[in-house]
Amino acid sequence: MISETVVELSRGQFAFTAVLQFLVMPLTLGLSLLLVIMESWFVIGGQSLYQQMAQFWGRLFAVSFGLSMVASLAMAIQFGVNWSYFAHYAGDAFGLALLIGLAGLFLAANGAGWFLFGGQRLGKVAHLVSIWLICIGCHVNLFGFVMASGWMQNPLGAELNPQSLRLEVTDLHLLFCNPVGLAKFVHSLLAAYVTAAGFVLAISAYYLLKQRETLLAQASFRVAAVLGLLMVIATMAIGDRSIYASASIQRSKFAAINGLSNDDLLAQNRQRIGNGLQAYALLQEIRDEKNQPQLLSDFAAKKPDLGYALLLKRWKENVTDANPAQIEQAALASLPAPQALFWGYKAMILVGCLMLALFALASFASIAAWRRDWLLKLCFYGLPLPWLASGSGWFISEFGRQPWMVADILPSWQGVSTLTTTDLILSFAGYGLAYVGLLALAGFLILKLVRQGSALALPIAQESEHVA
Amino acid sequence: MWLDYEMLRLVCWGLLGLFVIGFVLVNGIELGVSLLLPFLNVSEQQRGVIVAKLAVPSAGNQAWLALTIAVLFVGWPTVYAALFSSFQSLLLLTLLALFVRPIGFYFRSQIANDAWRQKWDKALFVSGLLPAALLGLMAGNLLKGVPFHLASDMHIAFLGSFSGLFSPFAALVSATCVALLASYGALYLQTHSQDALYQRSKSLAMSSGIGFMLLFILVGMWITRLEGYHVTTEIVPTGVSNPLTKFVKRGEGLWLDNYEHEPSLWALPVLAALAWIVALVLSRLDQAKWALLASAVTITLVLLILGVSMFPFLAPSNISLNSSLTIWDASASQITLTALLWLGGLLLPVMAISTRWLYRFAAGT
Repeated sequence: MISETVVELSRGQFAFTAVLQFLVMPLTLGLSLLLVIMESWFVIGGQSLYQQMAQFWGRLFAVSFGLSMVASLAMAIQFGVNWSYFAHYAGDAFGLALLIGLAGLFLAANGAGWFLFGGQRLGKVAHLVSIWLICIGCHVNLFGFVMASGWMQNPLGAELNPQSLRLEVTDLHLLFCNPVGLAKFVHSLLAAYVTAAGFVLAISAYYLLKQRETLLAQASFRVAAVLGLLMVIATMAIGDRSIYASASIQRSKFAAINGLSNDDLLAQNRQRIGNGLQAYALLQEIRDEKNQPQLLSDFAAKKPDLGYALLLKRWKENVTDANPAQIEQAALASLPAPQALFWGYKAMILVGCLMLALFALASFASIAAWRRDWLLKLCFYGLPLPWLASGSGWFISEFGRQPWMVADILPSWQGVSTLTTTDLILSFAGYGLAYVGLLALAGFLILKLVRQGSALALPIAQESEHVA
Repeated sequence: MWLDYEMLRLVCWGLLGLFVIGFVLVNGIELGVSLLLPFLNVSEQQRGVIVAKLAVPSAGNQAWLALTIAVLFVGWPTVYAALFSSFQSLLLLTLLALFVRPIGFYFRSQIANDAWRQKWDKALFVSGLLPAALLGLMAGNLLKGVPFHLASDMHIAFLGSFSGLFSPFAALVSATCVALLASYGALYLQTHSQDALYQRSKSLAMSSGIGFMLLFILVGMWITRLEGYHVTTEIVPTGVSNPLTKFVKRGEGLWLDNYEHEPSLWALPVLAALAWIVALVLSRLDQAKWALLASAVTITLVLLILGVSMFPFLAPSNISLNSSLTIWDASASQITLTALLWLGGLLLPVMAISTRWLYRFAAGT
């Protein structure tokens, strides 16, 4: 049986990588959109202020992008390293979305090579093309990653093959039109725009308070405030209902965040564990005597509940021998803790409303040239708001998925690699130190770049050429 | 379906191979040049110019790594799962070394002080050497077999140890890989430099190139004695992916089996050696650009030799022979492989061309 420590450590490591990803990916994507807006404005309108803005925010973008690269690379190996059973069991369906996400990463990385080091050698238009490439790449990247995580919430288009003992794709179309995945994509896309808008707003407010870089800060403030306002409104208008519309796990989440009773869900899950046990027993028979049509059709009927039998693995290795107490335990553990989800959801809505107010005020102030120091201070201290909102959103989505890794199919408990505790502690420490170090470094660089302002400093490549 | 399952598996295996080749060719330049940094007779400022050129395609190169991993994941999920959980410690070290690179590129140029720059040169040297050595080590372990076991419910257990991954044979393959990438990097430098640096990289290419030649021959001789793997039961190339339905035997020299059945395969090692000699001669004759091309051909052939010798194995297990994973019994489903072929087939040329452009652009900076 898999030890509890291994599961917890694997989870911790995954959470760590996911947190890093969630901190930087929205910022990177949102900033790429703002850069596209600024550069396009410059190329079309010819105002050099917008070029200056694109250069300044481009430097901050570079820091955020570097961290996104790190997080994506770590993510690409994590599934095999820490979640090898998941990788085997669900890889057939899960991998494609990841591949698409990483293809987006390549597009963005290649574009970044031109954008960050192109400097004067690229013409105006070529430079604009490079930032467009980055922006499109970031969008594809988010699409792939969110579709992958949406599939874990609502695994459509794949079915268990009893001979290979894993999920296999049966319908590609369903895989990429997963309603939960698509709704999550739109939601997190808008959230990413808001994150970058909040970031630019806060730094611009800081400059305005210090009366530095006034022209640049005023223009950036306006772009960020208006974009942020539009995106917050869009997020609220589209809402998140569609995310919870289908799939039973989403229903349990929906019940939790609305404070509804989950007694009927519990009864239903008890039933499903019973069915799952029958499916499990049939599966063993099928594997002994392949292709008996009667067995296969019996199994097909019970198959959707097989995952519920795997829930029991936590208490009983041979699940068919589980006693009623253990079954009850598994049924209780099959629902996420409602309290945490309830308050997590309330927090997300609250922060969303705060941001709506903040962006609305900021837009008004910027357009009506209404300058108040308290408002600028609010904008500055509002920096963490978008992360709080999307953080609670991710919490609801990821914590609410528990105890499942793939909803209704594979418990988190089952997904881990059988590594030793020492291995896991060492790698946890290794990645942990690297992430914390890199985040600290990024924070330091951002502070330095903000202090430095728009005047500087050629990009690295030209600087060294200069010296040489 | 325009390809049956068997052809699909074979073609996707080729696609995976192309991604690996692409990954090594583009990252090889970056890693190879980095690990030569301390051996170049240039001023710290000139070194800065070299480092700045390396920084341009660096993010794209890391994306190559990520995509190559993803292609393996999609095409052979179980192979990805077994290898990555077995090599977790080596991957951790590789990744940590790779994370140092962008930091080094950035901070090296920030303070114009020789001591500071030398420190970062060392960091960049390690971040080039370590991934090159570890990738070679993993390749060596693949040939030797990896100590993993598949349970009947397909749970994968790694039964080896960290120190067990450092066998003499794997270390030899690792050294071969470092020598190959070092001379590849030196030839790249020779192509893009003048004067003293040109002469220096020319001589580095020659010395590491001869080193690679000797190590490569040694590996080849060892492989005739090394225990290879062979599937003894009949293979069903269109069957369901279940690795536990076959029997595997292990024996001395079995990695040469494919060459015995298909003698024309001997052309690969012969051509690899020829291409390498051509590369070194061209470098000597100051035809650096063509020498670089010939060395890229060598790298391609060396990777092909690795793949072909192991065929149809992707991850043999030395502790539970029948758990070994082959391209036939550990692949993704037919639908997923078809999607992978379209997606990967589209991506690969786009990635190759855009990376080529970026390298050309970087050379001009």
